[in-house]
Amino acid sequence: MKTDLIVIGAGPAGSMAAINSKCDAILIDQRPEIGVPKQCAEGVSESLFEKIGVKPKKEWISKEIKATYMIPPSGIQIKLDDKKVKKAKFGFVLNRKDFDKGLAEIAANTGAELMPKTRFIRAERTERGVKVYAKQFNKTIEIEGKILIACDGVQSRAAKSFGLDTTLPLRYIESCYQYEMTDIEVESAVELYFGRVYAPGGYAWVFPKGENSANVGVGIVPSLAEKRAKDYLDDFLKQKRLKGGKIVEINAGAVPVSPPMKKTYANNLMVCGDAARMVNPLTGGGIHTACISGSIAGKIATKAIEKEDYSEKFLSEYQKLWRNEFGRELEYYGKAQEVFIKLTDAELDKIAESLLEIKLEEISTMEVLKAILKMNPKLLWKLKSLVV
Amino acid sequence: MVKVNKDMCMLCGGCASVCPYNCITVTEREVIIENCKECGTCIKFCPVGAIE
Repeated sequence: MKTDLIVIGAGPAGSMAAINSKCDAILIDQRPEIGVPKQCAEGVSESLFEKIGVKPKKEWISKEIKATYMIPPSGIQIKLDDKKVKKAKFGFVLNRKDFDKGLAEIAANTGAELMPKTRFIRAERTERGVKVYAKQFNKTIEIEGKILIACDGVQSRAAKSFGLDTTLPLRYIESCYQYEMTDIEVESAVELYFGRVYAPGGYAWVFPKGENSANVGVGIVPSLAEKRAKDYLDDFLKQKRLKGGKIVEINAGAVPVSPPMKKTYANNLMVCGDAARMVNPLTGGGIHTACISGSIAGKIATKAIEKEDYSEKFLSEYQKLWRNEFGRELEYYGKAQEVFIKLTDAELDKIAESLLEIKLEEISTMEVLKAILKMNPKLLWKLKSLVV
Repeated sequence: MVKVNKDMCMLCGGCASVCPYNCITVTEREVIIENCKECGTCIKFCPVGAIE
């Protein structure tokens, strides 16, 4: 079959790419059901939907968040809520299954051909553009197009087909494990637990989903860990806070926590979202970067097809645009993560104590980071030596 | 040769993202390992310890 644009992966990046393209597009995904399984803690900032220009459906949002707890190994709680934060707009815990499927539906309704249970095998360049070989049930299908957008997540194979190396060293990936739990007490607040005791190199979390349910998980950097992510989570569950909770779903996954790929385009190719490691290395959050990069790639693909120019030079505009949106931010958080993963539990306890009385203008990773650096100038020096 | 314990595996795909030799493909129902160099990177990554 023939089309203009081939998008691999119907996560948020892929669907946004298809939604923002105005050409013939085919969107393939290896999963029989888009959005399933969930591989995400589902937290997003309040500005997401405004930024991506999509009106959220009620069922996409599981819970509105009104506060954040940061908890170091000592157990003291730094609570950031409307008493501490001037513009107290925190965000949401999404229902990723409905959100992802909802975005894919919009993509299909705006003209893209959606193909679930269609697994990318490989791609090659042809005279006309690109040819993708994919497995659909027991058949191998061939899709011919002009441009390929790789949105196939952390284990991306599509970008590798065109020579871009997306392999992640163990230091720059988080091994994640999560239970969706019910019958536990939750507030409209996310809880973040820091320290090697909970999650070396990352953090443990409780993100509320409903009245008495939450995503409870850990993300660890394997090169710093002494046991499996599952072991850290099972230990985390032993605390009083979660006693009696029941597990209703188990999730596992990988989150890139490296700076984004240096080059996210090639002739006939753009790489978006997790596949291009567009994740905030400090928080592991990657939904808004996936959506924004996908949107930009969809628009650039449309232009390229209008102009019949699929060259690397033309597509480099994609990288310029996403870098303008969030590139510097991700680089900076990457440096901050280099500093933070080296902190001992005792140092984290001290930092937490320094934050007991903080006041913030608004809630964002940058604001919290600035407050931490202000109260702990030594960290600021360490960070500066990396940034310069 | 590394082996995936199918009963343990969550099919999360993380092993495929860390394999320095691109030997691993994770489909929606299985993990395929071809030409394994036995470097052990995937074993260190696996969140549940499904790779031996």
